[in-house]
Amino acid sequence: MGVSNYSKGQVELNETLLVLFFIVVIIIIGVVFYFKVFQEKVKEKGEELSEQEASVLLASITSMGEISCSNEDCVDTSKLVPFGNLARNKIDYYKGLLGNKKITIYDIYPSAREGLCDNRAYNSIEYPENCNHWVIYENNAYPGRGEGLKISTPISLYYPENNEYKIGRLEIEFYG
Amino acid sequence: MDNGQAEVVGLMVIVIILIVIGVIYLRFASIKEISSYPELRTNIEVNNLLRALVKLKIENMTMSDALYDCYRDTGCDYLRNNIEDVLESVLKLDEDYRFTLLADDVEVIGFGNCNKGLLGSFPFVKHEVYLETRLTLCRKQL
Repeated sequence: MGVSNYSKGQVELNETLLVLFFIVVIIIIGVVFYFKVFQEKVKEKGEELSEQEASVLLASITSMGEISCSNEDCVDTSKLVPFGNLARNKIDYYKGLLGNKKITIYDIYPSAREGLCDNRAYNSIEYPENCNHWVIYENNAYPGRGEGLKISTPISLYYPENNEYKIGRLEIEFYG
Repeated sequence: MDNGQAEVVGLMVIVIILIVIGVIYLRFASIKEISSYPELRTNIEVNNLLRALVKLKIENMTMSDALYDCYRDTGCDYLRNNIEDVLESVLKLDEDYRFTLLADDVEVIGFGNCNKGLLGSFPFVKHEVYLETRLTLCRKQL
C-alpha cells in the first residue's frame, strides 16, 4: 500500500501521535534532568552540612571532658589512649555524638618518634618519646568510598608525665 | 510545506527555545555560594595556634616567659628564633605569617611578611603586665 493511499484522517492521526511522542520524550528528558540536578544539589548540601559539623567539632572537641586538661584550654595526652578505648567500647554512644568521622591527634612540635600511641606504646618505658599520634575515634560507615575530606587545627598538648606542653594538630576526617 | 510539517517545525522551535532557557537558568543556578567555613577554620586555627604557642616549653623555658623577657628588653632573639622555628613546622608551605607582641597595646616586636590576612590574638597577663600576641596568616606570594 503506498503513502498516497492514506486518508486525510490517518495522516492527521499520525501527526498527532508524532507530536504526542515528542512531548512525552521532552517531558521524560526534563524529569530525568530535573532529578539529576536535584540529586546534585542534595549531595552538595549534605557535603556542606558535614563540613559545617566538622568545623564546629574542630572548635569544640578540645573542651570535651574526656580529653581536655582539668583547668586549662589544652588536651591532656594521658587521657587519649583511655578515651580511644572507651570510644571503641561505647561506639553507639559516641557515634551519635561524633558521627561518621576519624579523629586523629598528632604531636608536631617538638616532634617525637613516628608511631601510633596505642596501649602498647603508652605502657612502654619510652613513652612519650616512642610515638607521635593517637587515633581517638574512628567510624567509617562507607569504607568503600575511600578517604574522606580532612580539616585540622593546631592544639596545645599537655604531657603530665613530664609536666610539659607541646604543639599538636587535631585532624578530623569526615566521610560524606 | 503542508500544515503538519509547519506544526512539527513550530514544535521543534519551541523545544529549542525551552532548552536554551533551561541551559541559561542552570548556568546561573549552578554558581556556588562562597563558603565561609575555610575562613572560619583559619580563624580557629590562628587562635588555637597562639594559645598553644604561649604554653609551649622549649629547653625548660616557656614561651610566655620568653615573651615577658622580650617585653622587659632582656633580649628577643630566643623568642624570635623559636617562634620562627615553630611556625615553619606548624604552618602549611603556602602560608605566610606576621607575629606581633604587644604590651599594654604598644608593639614590642613584630616579624614576618604577611601584613594583610586573617588575624588572631591571644592576650594573657604575666607578672601583672597585659601582653597580647597577634598572628596574621595569609597565602604566600610567589
